[in-house]
Amino acid sequence: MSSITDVESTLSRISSHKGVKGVLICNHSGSAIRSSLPSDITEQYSALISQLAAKASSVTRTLDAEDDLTFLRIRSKKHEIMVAPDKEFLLIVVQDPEMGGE
Amino acid sequence: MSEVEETLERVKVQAGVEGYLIADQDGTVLRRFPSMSQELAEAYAEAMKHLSKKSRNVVRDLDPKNELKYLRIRAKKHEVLVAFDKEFLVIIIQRWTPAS
Repeated sequence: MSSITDVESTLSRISSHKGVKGVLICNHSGSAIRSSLPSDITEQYSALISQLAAKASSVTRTLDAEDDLTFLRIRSKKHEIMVAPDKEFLLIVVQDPEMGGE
Repeated sequence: MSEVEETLERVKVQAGVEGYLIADQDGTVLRRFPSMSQELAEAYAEAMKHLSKKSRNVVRDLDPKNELKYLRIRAKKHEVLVAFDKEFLVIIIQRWTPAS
């Protein structure tokens, strides 16, 4: 299990990437745990994205019962939201849509 | 129409592509990868129709002036790419390997 400092250093590494607007960690119920964004935005993102990830996960399993969601990428005009789900948490990164590459 | 065909041909020959389909906003399959069964194509169209509606709403809830362009759903075995347009959904299913 990662120590607190591992988590902190990963979060700060990601947030200092060019184009990254924010990083947040929430649980599957939509409660935010850590975030580099203001709390109102964090709450909104956590609630909405956790629901969307749950839906994407169930769609994946409906289409193939053995498969499971590992990553979700939502690209819109203004930004790109990347979601990495885990058993207990979701890591959400919001960045400029122009930044290509994984 | 031939531009569509050309693009589909280009997609078809990419390594790892297992299927593609073009559907309208109601989930009606308009075009699909020849080796994909109609049933599977319809299942994907239906599933992606719901997921895309939800994603579109999330994007607009977060910012009313924003607009969903593209969705990428990566699972353990496959990756599903969904591109949006006013009238259509283009769905591509491919195998993926981690970047080296």
